[in-house]
Amino acid sequence: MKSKSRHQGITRRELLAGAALGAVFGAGSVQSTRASGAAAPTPWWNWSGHQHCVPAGRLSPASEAELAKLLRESNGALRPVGSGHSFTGLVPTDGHLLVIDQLRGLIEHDPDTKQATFGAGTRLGDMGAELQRVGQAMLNLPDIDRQTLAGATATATHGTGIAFTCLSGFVTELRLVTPNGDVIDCSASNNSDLFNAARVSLGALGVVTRMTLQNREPYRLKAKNWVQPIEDVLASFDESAAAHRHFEMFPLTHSDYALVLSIDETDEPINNPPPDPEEAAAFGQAMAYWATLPPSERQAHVDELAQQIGPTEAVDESYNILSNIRNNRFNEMEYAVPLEHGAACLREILQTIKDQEIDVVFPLEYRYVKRDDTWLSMSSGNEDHAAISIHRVASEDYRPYFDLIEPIFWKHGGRPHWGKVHTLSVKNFLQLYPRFADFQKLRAELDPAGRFLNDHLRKVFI
Amino acid sequence: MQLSSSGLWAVALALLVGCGADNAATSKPDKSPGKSLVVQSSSQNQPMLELWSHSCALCHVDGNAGAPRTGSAEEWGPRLAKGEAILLQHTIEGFNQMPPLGYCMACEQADFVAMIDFMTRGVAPETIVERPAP
Repeated sequence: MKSKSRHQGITRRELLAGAALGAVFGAGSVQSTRASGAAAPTPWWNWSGHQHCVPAGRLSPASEAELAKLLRESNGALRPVGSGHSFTGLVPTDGHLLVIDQLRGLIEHDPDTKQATFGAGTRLGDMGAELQRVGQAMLNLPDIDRQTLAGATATATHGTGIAFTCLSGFVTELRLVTPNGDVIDCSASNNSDLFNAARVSLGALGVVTRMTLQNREPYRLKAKNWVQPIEDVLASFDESAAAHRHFEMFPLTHSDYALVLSIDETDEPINNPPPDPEEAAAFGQAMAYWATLPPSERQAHVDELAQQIGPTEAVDESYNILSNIRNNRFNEMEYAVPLEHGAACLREILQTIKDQEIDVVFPLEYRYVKRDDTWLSMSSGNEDHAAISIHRVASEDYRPYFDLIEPIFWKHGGRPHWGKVHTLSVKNFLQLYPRFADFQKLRAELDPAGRFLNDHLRKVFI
Repeated sequence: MQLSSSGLWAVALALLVGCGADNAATSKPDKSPGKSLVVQSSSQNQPMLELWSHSCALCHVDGNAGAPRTGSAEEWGPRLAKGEAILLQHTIEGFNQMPPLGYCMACEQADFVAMIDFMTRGVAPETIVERPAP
């Protein structure tokens, strides 16, 4: 998929002239308020730089009505794109990219029910302050907050905590513009099947333009982090997960230790100091040194340093504690396995990294996620799940590492995160999801021509 | 030496849960209520600035992740010296910690050219203001 072709040698003057032409997009007769220039198509890459395409153009409707008109009056291939944070091939197309950045912001809110409706193009990172202004806060957030609400829910993106579903579980109503331009509102009591499918849609059912979320009153959180032997954490993980609002660990590779994080509500004043730059530099040097050693020789060094690390705390508004910006780009594989298999799966992965001497210093992530009632969330169904992530720096080839680990997830009954690297296809998903065939049927009804499919989604659904 | 784990979070978990390790002490964005970013400008520039304020501005106002700050000739100088074509290539394909397309999924090459032009020489710092709480 990746093909780092260089852009054509177009001058700035030519580019600006092309924009001035305001050329009409190739999709039907529709002209967007944001029109492509006549210059060469602008390539698209995802955040990590692994997924790539050269779309025919970009469509950025300024309103739901414009989007519906565009879909009614055009017939070409389309793929919705959020902020490009998915590591799988959800977006690449040689048709048009459909960007809903202009469908953003707080639309309405109810102070009694603590529900708020946002344009689905709103970035998660823009929602916390906006909600606080109207006396609300999201129940939970994922680690990264650059995703759009539409993209995060379409992939069942989740945060941490046995008491919290993925973000899609917080959605009480949504509006879908179907591939033929119909506008459908749905909720648990209105078009309920479509509601349960469209909350985790992979962008295959049309375009979700707005979502109403169940929120709560604003709250402050206290994060504590410390280092602890992995086996000690696992021995009491269920109790810790039940005792804290959020609890997770980041096992260090080639080590017996993990970074541990607990987060709980607090009334304490905000105190969220930045890391000490001198300590950061010292650890940076240590990690750089580890990377120079053969993997089999790292454990003594990593464990020695880990034992010198003391705990830290931070207090801040909920949205400042739960989410962060990740500037260091990477690729990631994440599977959710039934809770009772979580510890065994994690142990087998860590042992495999040691036994196979995999040259990786990037920590893993291990946490619990509550079950939900969507059709395709990786935590949907009747049991809670343990979510386990492995990562590789974006500049490195992740495939040998991920190829070695992925079968371990399968062995433990894992379901892949829709936005993270996996190699499964439709036959696997039919076994993993009881409502998968229902989703296939609904998708075929809404998009019989398959204009919202691309190569990746054909492998997933067809 | 007894260390706090803040440094480890700044490095190991810069990979996972935070800002870039090389500038972790200064790169946490202000997400306080009532401080949405707006830019005062002529209406002619407004469409470009709408795109910019939701993409480039995420890093190129505070210097997050070592990004050169808008309007800083000193910080943009070494980048400009590489030539406009390289700057555009890095913008579209990503470069170091900067993600491809600078988080602007709707932008075409002409938009990037205009935003680079704006950031490198088209704005005085005082035109970037924070929107007051309603």
